Amino acid sequence: MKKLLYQIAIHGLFIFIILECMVRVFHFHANPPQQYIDEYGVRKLVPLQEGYNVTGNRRQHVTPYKVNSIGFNSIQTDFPKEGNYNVALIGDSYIEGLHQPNHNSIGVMLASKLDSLKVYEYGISGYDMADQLHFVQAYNKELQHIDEIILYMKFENDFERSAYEPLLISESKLDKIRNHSKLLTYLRQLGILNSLKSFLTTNTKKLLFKNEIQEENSIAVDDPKFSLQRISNFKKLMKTYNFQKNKMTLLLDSRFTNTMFLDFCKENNIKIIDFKQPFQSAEKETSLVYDAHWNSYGRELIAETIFKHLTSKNK
Amino acid sequence: MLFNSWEYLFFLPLIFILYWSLSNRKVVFQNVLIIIASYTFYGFWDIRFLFLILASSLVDFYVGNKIYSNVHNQKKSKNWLWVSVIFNLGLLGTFKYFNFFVHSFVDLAQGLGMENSSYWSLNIILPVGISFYTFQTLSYSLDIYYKKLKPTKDLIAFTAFVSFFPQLVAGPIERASNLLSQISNERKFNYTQITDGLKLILWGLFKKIVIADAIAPIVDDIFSNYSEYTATTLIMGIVLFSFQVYGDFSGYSDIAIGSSKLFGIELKSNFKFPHFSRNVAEYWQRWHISLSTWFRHYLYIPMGGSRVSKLLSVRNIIIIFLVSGFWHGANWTFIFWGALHALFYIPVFLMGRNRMYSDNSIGEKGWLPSITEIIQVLFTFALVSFSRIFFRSPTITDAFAYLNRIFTEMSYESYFHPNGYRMIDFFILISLFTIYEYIIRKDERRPFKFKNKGVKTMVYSLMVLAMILFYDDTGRSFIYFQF
Repeated sequence: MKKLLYQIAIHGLFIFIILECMVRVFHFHANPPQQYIDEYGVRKLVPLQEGYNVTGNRRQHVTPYKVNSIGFNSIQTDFPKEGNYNVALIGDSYIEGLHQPNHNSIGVMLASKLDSLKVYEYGISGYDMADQLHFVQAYNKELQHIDEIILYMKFENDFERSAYEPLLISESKLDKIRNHSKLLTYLRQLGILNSLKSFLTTNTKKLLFKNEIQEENSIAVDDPKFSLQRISNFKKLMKTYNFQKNKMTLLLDSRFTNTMFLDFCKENNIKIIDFKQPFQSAEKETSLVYDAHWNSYGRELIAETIFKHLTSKNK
Repeated sequence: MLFNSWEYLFFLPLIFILYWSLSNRKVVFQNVLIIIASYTFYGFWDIRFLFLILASSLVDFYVGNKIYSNVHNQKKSKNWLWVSVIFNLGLLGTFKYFNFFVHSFVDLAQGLGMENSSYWSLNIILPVGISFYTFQTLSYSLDIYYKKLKPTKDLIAFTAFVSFFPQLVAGPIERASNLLSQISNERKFNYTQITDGLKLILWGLFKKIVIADAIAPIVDDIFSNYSEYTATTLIMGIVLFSFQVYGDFSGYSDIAIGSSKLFGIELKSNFKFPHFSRNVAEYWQRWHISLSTWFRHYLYIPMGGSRVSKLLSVRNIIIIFLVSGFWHGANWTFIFWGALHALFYIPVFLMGRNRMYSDNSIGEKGWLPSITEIIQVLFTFALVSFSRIFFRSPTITDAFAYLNRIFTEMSYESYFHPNGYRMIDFFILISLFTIYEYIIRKDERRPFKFKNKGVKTMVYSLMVLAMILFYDDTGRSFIYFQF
């Protein structure tokens, strides 16, 4: 038995080392950019990082990224200046655009429609409405020449907080050690480690806290009280950050937005850009195959929709 | 519990450690552990059906002893055998075939003009592995009746034999002369046997995860939407399904045999590289061997086998294949599949070529197969894959419609899976897999026969890497569980 365990350990170690080398050589893993909290308490990407965003087990989607000096994955390197019609596009990973080359982003597509139009993208993975509004307020001075602020939102994700607190996804010591191994990083990105982790935690919970788990499961996720709570959070955020109705517009898909929220926007004269119609009548797929984000066609539709909104507003 | 699940990853080592920690005690302790482990393993699917396994064990244990005690009274002995046959086939008939018979009868009645005939059917769930363990227990009674085996007096060993978890739900179907004798005797910790077992588990997981599960979504799409595709895609669907079902079932068998080795128990081989068969007869000597052996021993030979006239032999072959088809599932598709195989087999039999390749394999004379062998293998593969249209299609109408499109929509088209799979990955994968199988074709139980330790470790690593590269979190079950 001892010999067997020894041989399993030795083989396991060698296999781990060989796989680690292979993952590094073929770059199967993604190396997402690091984030930090700046002096204004804003969560951003560490400036001037470069790397590759990889999705799919077999590198089916590989995109290079390059973070600008301000801390966003964008080709714009400065804050807006006077003289153009400046648009700020703020949002989560869909705006951050690690899944696309940054010279082919929504901002670039939108700016290409008119010479005097300049688009500045401020997207960070996981940005919710609190992050977005806090960013606008914190960088008020730098963004003074912005004519239009477009905030991309998903109702079910972005209104869980009523106040902003700078939060970085905290990593435990174990996570930090794990990040040194590209193999483990790759396994985590594929969901294999999470699947194992959830198997272990669920079964441990089942054994230890059977009743509590049943209670957790019994909560209905589409309960209207959640929608009301989100609307209430938005109200508080609007008040705290002085939501500028003349400048700010919400970019959303009304198919996936609660009707109470849409009614609230209408009643309070909050402008929205709804891309439901173009996406519904899209001739092709609007999302990437190995990634839920918008593909080039989807981004073009978004850019087109925003452009229509801007032209109708500035007739 | 699935072999390719996290549960099994923890379950197997735990049972392994407990099992060998009991090795200095009487063998009965290990057998009790096997029973507990096996019932736990099965209970992960449906705890309600454990009673069926227990009932099957108790009935055949009792009947086996009764048959033996009446060995000099042929009539009584036969009556007791009938008890076992009726009980086991009754279980199968009730749980697997009841609704099929009711629906077929209603279809027939309606065909005869009795349109308004009312009928009832039962909403019966098919217990996993029922076809396998009922055949195993039945073989025990039959062996005693044919005086090939003495019944055991050890109920615990017998219960462990019926429920032995590595092969409980999808075989290999073991005869008591092989498995029960091992379970009844003391097992020794054998390092080589255990490492061989671990290697087989790795190879089986590779076949399941990398070959079968990776291809499965493509096959599912083609067979579900066959009316939208042309001949090239439909033919690709059949070829891919051949690899899927082979990877799935032979992968399962390898994991079963490998897991069993960890407990010092050797199971019979179930697959011997069937895709390298040179005719359909050889294919059946290499595909699902434990089932074809079962039918040969307990049905074909008792009916006279090939020792009777040619006409009767042909009749026997037809019966065997129809029954084999029906064993797979309560659906006309499987019966048709069996009939097709009978049709392919009979010419080989009449030409006297059915035992021609029983003791040799492709490429015996050199590294590469001869041109004739390549043509034979491709032809056999084409026949077998063709029959799988019926095996895979949900209904006989779908199978014929699929076939019809192959002949009526004969144009080339590029295939795009809805999820955008990069097809080249799968073609490379299947080509490499076939080449590797060819290299190891002479020993199905030792897939990693490399002398150099470095090469061996590198191959293990590549297997694991392939599993990661083709990992899919859907956790697919094994195809043969439905039988």
